[in-house]
Amino acid sequence: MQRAGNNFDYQIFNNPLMSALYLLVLASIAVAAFFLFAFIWSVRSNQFEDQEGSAMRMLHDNETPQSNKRKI
Amino acid sequence: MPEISTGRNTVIVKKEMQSADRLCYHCGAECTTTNIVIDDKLFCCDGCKLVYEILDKNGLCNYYELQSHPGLSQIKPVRSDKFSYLDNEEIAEKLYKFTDGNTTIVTLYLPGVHCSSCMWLLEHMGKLNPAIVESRLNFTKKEVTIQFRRQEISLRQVVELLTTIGYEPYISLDESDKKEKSSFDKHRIYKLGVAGFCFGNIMLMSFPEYLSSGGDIEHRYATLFRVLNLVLALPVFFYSASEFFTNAWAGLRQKTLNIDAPIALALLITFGRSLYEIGTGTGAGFLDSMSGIVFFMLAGRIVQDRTFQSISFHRDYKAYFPIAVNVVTPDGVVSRHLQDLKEKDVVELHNDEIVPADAIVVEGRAKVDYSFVTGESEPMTVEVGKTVYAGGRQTGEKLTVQLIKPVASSYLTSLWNHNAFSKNKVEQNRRDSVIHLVSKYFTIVLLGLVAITATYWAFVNPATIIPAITAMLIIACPCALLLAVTFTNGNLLRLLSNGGLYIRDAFVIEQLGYIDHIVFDKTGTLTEEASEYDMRGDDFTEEEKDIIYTTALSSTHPYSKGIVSYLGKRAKAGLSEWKEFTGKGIKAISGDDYIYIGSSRFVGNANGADTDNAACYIRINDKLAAFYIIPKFRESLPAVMQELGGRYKLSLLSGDNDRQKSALQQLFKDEGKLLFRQQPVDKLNYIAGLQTKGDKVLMMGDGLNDAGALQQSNVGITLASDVNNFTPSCDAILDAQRFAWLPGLLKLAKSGRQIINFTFVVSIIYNIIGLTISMQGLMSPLIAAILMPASTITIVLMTTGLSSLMARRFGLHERQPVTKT
Repeated sequence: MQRAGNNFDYQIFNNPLMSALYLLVLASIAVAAFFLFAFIWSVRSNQFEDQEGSAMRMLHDNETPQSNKRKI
Repeated sequence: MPEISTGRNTVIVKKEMQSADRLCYHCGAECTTTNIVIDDKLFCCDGCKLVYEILDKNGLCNYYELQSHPGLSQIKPVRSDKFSYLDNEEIAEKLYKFTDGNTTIVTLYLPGVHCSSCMWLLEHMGKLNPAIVESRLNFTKKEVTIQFRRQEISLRQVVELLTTIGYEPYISLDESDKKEKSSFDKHRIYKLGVAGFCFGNIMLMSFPEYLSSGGDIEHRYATLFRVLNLVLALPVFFYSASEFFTNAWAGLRQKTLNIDAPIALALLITFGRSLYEIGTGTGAGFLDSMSGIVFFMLAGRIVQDRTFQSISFHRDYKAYFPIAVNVVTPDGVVSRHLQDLKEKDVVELHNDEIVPADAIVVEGRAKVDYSFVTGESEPMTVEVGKTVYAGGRQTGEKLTVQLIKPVASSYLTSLWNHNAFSKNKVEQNRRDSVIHLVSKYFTIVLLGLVAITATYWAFVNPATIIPAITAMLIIACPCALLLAVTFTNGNLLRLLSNGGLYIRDAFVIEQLGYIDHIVFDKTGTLTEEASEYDMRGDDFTEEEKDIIYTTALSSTHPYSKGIVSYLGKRAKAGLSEWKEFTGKGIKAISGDDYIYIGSSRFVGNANGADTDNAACYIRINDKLAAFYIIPKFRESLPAVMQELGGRYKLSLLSGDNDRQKSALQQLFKDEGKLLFRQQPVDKLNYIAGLQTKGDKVLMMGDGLNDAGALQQSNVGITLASDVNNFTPSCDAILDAQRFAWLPGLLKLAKSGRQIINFTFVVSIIYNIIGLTISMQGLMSPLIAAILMPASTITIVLMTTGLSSLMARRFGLHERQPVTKT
């Protein structure tokens, strides 16, 4: 985070309303930055490489209990 | 039991047979026989049954539970040593992605993948062979990545295992083929993400500024938000927008003003002025607008450049030719890489294999199908000692040939040395694009306006010069035009692909809009794979037909097969003698009857049954008839021609003979433009000739013989019955089943330009409003912050909405299920 310039009024740190605003701005940017990071991570780990495949894969069972059943 | 025919090549099934319980349990094809049954399940052929047996034995029948009839037809068996070249370690190593001597990873392209069952089976390969450690399928790219232990199973065995379960991989060593598939541009996505993040936060931070509407907000709040904005704008300016600067610079170095130049200028000035305002504390700058346009323009470019990951547009003959062929050496038959072939090598060719280079037949009966290479529809019989040309496909028995030319300088492959192939069509389309023409004038006009405004304010109020002209440059950024073009093209690409037309890149759409002359190939483009048969001449009695049927049945010649399929299933007659004369015909004796089937001279065609165009003649004693094989035109052809004829000039270039000239003349209505017996180079030159006359040519073709013409044309469209099959290098691929939609698709592509023009006018209105305000020096961040998103959203909604509306109007809105092969 970049601190504000020289002409900045140091009194604001004593003003409870102002420091709350500071905190909120920081928090909002942090939340947004988290989502940005999550997005970049998901692209980097190839989660968008195969969009159709993943949708199908999750419907498959790991084991195949029906495999010996004789169905017509 | 209703009667059905059992032959493999004749699929004549009575109507009442077509109920669902007659479908092959594996592939869903109609069963022509009820003999192939296992566990109450019916199969169409032994190949399909075999796959079922393998899966059943390994407990993988879940495959059939996920989807009904998930398999691919196995009716065409794959030759057992087709993949023997993979035993050649040199070739196999090129395919490995990773190997440490034992653990090996390989990625294979499987064109047959189409449903979730495919995915399930391919990811359970380990159950079929424990040496396969892991297999994972990328469904979008149709690529399976297999990790296996090489000491226990060879690559050839892996590939053959895939082939036995019905997923024959398409193996190519061509580098360009691979590069194209992995061209998913992640950097642009990151840039978009960063721009979106910064844009959102800057908007949030700018809110107090907007709401104070020019009045004084408390100084310390203002400074905090402005500085934060500046920090957030840095990654947008230096990272996300970097491609606009590099592109503009690249253009300037070649002394051209491309679309990125005015955008880069606008970005630079916006950022500079914002920096100045924030630094001096005089204003909040325009950082919100700047990051907004960067975000939307990047989004537009990503939409436009979305490519079809599983389709290849840049294949040359190498992708059609085999990777390796069997060469006869003193040490026995070895598999040799195509590029290592030399003159005088003796090569063995099996049924369905392709002649790798021009060669002389040494042994065996050559029946070479050149349809893909020359467009000729019938296979040619070549005698020992005569030449067969590269690209022909041997049908029938094993053939031994001796090469007389290296692969690259054979008759067909030398086409690729023509200078039409050296030009870069992608670059050419980019340069010809209207957006680059417009952007040039746009920049010049804008700079002129800036000069006039500056002069005016110099006399009236010199202090207003800088704010007025910087605001002008900021607001008049041609981002609206860029957005209109990219979002229209992006949506058109999507709509056209729904209609079965897969386009290489967005610039091709624009070129499609300029087309005024369409050139068709005949074989495979206007005709379907199946043929129609006809017999004219003396009438035969039923007994005589039985004799003809029996005579033809024993021959593998395509004409004989045609006769068999024309006559349908009949009783067999007794033959006392049967003899086939290569290149001439068949002679047989049944009782007292003498039967001749063959060429006009062979059957002694003296009494003048009509002599033109017949495939062959049939004579029993004194009765004579001519047999015709008529390639079947696509069902929708007359309607398509009717519709295209009014709006385009049409030509036909056929490599075939002119047997169907009269039928085609009716379709084309214009006699002068039908050309037959065209060599691949003739086709290319004809297109080039039209272009020098000023025509914009669309070439519709399908085979390698059209490759030159497709390359030379303004837009080359390949017709493919399966878009994953081999297609020669082209600009777009049309699903053959959607041939009827061609006029509509062309109209839709053409409408793209009107949509862009219309949207551009709207954006100019926005620009005029913005410019009037800024010329008066009244532009405030609030107005800019409202105008920018408003114009952007209008443009995006209008382009996507209008193009979807057009698609609906041209009857392209119904999304049909993609058929499997």
